[in-house]
Amino acid sequence: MTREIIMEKLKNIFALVNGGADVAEFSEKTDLRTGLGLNSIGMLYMIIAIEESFSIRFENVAMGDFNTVGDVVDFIEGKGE
Amino acid sequence: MKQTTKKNKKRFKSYTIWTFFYDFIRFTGVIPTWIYLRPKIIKKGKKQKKVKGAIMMANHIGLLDPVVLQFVFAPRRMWTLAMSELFDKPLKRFFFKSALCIPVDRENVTIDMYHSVSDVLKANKILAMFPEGRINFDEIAEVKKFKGGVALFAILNRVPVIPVYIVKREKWYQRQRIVVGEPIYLDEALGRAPTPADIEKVSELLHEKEEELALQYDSKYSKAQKEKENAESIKS
Repeated sequence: MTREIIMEKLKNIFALVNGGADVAEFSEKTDLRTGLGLNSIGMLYMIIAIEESFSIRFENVAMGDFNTVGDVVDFIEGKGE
Repeated sequence: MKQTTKKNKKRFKSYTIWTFFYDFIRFTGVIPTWIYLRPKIIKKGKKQKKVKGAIMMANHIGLLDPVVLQFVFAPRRMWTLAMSELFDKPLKRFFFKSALCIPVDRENVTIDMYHSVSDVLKANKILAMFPEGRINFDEIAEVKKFKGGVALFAILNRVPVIPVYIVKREKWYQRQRIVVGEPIYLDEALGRAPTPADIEKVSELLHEKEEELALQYDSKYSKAQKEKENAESIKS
């Protein structure tokens, strides 16, 4: 799976965890907490949504491991290999 | 997902070393704790018995709260979310794992914690949570603001939430009163994927339900107390 496809799928997930708000303006450098306004519950919810959407299971992952959108993409890409 | 569920059922149905230790702790501890607490469970409604997998949310007023909650659904086993600091040393880790506690790092939540919670709930077990996040040592036992975990876990795993109000004992020899409310079904009301705003709202709703339970008990108790005082003053 390419990074572009992952980013496209993540767009829908961010829209969901962002309460349906517009998330058109985000890049791999966007900070999850300050840029997307996710709190700890939002972060956990995002990971659960990613697991469902990408049919992968995260293990030994803490919310502090992800700071930017790029970190999430890296992780999903790593899982796909 | 189906594979995981099958695996969970197998895991939770069979006796493991942890459930063996848990049962051992329960059976050896039940008599002394029952004598010390003499728990009185006040159930509102009769729907609690029919509940399979559920989250039992309670106010957190002391270190013995998880022990107190064991009496609510006894003899069913109960899993509890506990702060990860309790698991820092090997002996403590062994004890709390034996007591079926799931560690939660409050500063840095892990996905493994959610998987454990989900496994427990999908296997139709009871999970106890203290949504206030920490023990409330205040003199006035006011229920503090809830964190979003209970709402999130209940909605995503489609399980009811059972509000429980642990009454503060003013004297150590007083009976421990536990008020158990009716199960609250959250997924039926929502009917779609929740947003963080929904989770926030549901957390507020759960907090209201908990306060309602506390108020119901307090008003009844204070009324009974006044009647007792009046009767005593008439006698004298």
